[in-house]
Amino acid sequence: MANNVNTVGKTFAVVTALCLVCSIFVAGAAVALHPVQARAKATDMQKNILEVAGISVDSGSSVADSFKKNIKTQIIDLSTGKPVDLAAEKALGKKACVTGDADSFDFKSAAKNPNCTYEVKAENDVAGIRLRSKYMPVYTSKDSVILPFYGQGLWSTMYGYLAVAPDGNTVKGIIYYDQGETAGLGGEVTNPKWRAKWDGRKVYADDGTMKLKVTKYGKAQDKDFDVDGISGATLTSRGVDNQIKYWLGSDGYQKYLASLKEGSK
Amino acid sequence: MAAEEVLTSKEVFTRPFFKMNPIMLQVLGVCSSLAVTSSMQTALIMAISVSLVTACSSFLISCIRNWIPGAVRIIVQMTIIASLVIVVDQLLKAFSYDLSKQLSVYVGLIITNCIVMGRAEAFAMKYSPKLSFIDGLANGFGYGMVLLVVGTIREILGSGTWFGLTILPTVNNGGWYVPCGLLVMPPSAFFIIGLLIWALRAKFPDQDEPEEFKIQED
Amino acid sequence: MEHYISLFVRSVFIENLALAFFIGMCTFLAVSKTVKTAIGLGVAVVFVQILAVPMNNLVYTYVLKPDALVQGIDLSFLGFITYIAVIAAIVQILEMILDKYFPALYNTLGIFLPLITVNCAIFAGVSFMVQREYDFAESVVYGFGSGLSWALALVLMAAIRERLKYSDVPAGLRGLGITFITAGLMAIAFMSFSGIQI
Repeated sequence: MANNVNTVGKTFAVVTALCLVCSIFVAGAAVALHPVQARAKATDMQKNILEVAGISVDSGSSVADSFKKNIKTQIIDLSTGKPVDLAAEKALGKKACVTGDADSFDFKSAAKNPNCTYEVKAENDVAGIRLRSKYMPVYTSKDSVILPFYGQGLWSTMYGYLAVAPDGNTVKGIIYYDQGETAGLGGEVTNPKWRAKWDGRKVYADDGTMKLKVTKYGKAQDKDFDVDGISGATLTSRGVDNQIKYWLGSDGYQKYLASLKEGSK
Repeated sequence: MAAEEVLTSKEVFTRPFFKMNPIMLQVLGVCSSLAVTSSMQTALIMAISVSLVTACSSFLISCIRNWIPGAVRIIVQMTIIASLVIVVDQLLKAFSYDLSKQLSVYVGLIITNCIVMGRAEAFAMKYSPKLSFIDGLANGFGYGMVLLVVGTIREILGSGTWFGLTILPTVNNGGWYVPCGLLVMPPSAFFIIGLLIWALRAKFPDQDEPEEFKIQED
Repeated sequence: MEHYISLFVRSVFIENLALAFFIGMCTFLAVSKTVKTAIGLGVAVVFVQILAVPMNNLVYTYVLKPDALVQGIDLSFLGFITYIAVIAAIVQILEMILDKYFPALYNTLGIFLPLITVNCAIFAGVSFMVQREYDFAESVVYGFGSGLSWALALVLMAAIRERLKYSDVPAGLRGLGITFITAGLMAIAFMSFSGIQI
């Protein structure tokens, strides 16, 4: 080697130069790609919501356009089941839970935000949620309402959407958009064949008790309320059952769905 | 450096496939090869990402190899590699959001993937940028090859599909094939790689490990 | 409290870094030849992990997280490079402290510490912590649990391999091949922990 690079001065010079070059490179890439990423993320969510609502994206129009045309986002307070007044919420200033518009509300980060957080009582917490946002976004299309939900499966926290008819009682579809269950077994929650088993199931009995459940594979009996579990994935099925139990129960969307039921009569 | 004349580009390129395969012989970069091979799509993306990162980092490190002070060698290599991985991660998030979700932390783990570091340290610090680039790329491909072979076996026999296309219609979808549940489970990758190593060593017996013999003779 | 115990058990057995997520396999296969070295490396990993995960948790919460440093600025893209730098710094400082104040410990762990910077187990522990958005207390528990899980797997593997030396394995499988297959069997055994809920 021609020059000695092991002096302190040269070491510092090399490291500084390298850090500069790398930081410009990385920051440049991050800033340039950020809008594309944000769009990819939003498109991914919108695509899933449209799919569970049974709305196909017309050829020629983008996912974002179809979403805008067909879906309305609302933020509801789970404790009352009523929509949150966004203007009043904004007036709270620093104590506000929702700061932007309904579409930009992120229930995942809200769960850890002290203004938004709601601690699920241990005896209610069948789905292993612990902390959730006190408000949840709800997506309404012409013929369904789409409820985001999540909870523990076997290996992972599973995130999904459940579509319910405007009567607040008939399931129209389910989709999991983020889960890390065993591929081929628990991962079959994404299989359209299994998802089709949810169609037309009822959530609540006439007296208002929650009766929708996921059974073990092959054990579904009640045609109105039982969804057959996944073969070879008893624990994932149980996880799904717990999630449904929690989110459609009294701590979840029950009050909201009841208000829909009232409205549709 | 005299050693440079000994190695031709072609040699450098072909070595990592069978004779010096990074996974099977050098035991480098095994982590991700096990975790991402349950479907071909993730395996392919991982293979491409690792090849690109290895090639580019080897190239860059080789370019500045005469200016890197010995004392901070590792951290300099690490910085370059980490920057490249961040860019790969950002690109994936932007253009293939779904796959980046599936790969989760394993993209980040390319930084600590020993293949990348190993090639930087063992090859790029000594040879010219051109050879280093080829070496990095070839090692990435050698790694990718194992990933794709394991992925093919696991996806076809485990889920009945290949790149998501149905090859063997499974019972769950109304076909006849009862998928082999073991193969979708991560541990199966251990068995497949173990058997692949056996197959490779049957072909190249010079790769057998001799040490254990001595103990047996005692 | 229950929550933390559950997290701990989960991270040691169910989400075992080495056998459920295949993290740190390079070192796992390379350093598991004798129980003695395995214990040394295992302890070193637990040590570093228990420092690195909470430390990076603080860095993430107060610097990198969107809106953490300055409202409206999202530095999370710098994550990887920061974590690795923090890990490298911790290892370096730990090495110096051990050398100065605990020479006996340094003599046993010292040689393993540099290895740890490039051990994916630490980096993966940090990545999982960030991905799952653990808070500080959780990250301490998780750091300890995940480090222990890796160390446990490593020591078990080493114990098996010490015996395995004396067995008659076909030439091509000897060494690496049979180690892979053993690891596979161990991973299946560990899968039986899945679904345990506390």
